[in-house]
Amino acid sequence: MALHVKVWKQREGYFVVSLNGKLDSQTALECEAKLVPLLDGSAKVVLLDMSLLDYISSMGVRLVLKTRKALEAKQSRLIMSNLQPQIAKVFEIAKALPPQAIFASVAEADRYFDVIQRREIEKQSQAGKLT
Amino acid sequence: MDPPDEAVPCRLKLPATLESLDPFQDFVRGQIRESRCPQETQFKIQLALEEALVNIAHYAYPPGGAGWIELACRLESGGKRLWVEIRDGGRAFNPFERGKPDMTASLDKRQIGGLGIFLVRQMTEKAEYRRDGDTNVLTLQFGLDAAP
Repeated sequence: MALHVKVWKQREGYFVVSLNGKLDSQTALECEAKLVPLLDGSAKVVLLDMSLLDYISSMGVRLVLKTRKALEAKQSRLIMSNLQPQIAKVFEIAKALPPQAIFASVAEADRYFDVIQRREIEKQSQAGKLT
Repeated sequence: MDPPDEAVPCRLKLPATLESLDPFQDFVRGQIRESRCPQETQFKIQLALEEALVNIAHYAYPPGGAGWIELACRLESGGKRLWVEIRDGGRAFNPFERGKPDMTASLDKRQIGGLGIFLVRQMTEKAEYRRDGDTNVLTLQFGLDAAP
């Protein structure tokens, strides 16, 4: 089964995207193509209506996060509605984790943390030199 | 009569591409049809399979290479449990113990890669990896009873 995406303008600057079917590795690209026109800043709010979405995989979650990021870069917002329980569960798993907890291993998270910390220290020491 | 746990598993071998996802999903769905497990359990199985198979289709073989995936599954414990084994002939890769992180990849990409494998863990009772000769072997187990 595929994914049907319907986009409409609900109000000026407010768009609704209705997702019907499955948002996964096979449908994420075609869905993304329909979302791209909403990312130019003219949409202040984009609502993903998920009442008819009955399946999502990590590729789908990735698209939602990417879209949210693109919208926030334009001071716009992404909101979602009507998540079926199994969809909500997947978002809960993804969101319940602070970003650093989504790494696959402790070692990987450690290294990530180290890099961030090193950058922070470098920034501070450079700021110190300037004053 | 329930089949014994040692029942010979059903197998399906297909190219390691995204086009094989649906046939693999249909194959497993056919195996569990008679167990009449709840929708929630079917969702978990579907999601774990997709994440595991997509991972292999994307990363196990060099781009454009003619890779394969073989999936075997059987019902265990009198139909109360589903056992799935996924084999590929790609480079050795333990998804649960990923090697050096690719620090040049975007943060989003690394997080979500991790999310896919995290979902496999969350959706299964047990998920294990082993290297068998020149084959990657991923074993997944699902309870088919109603989730608590």
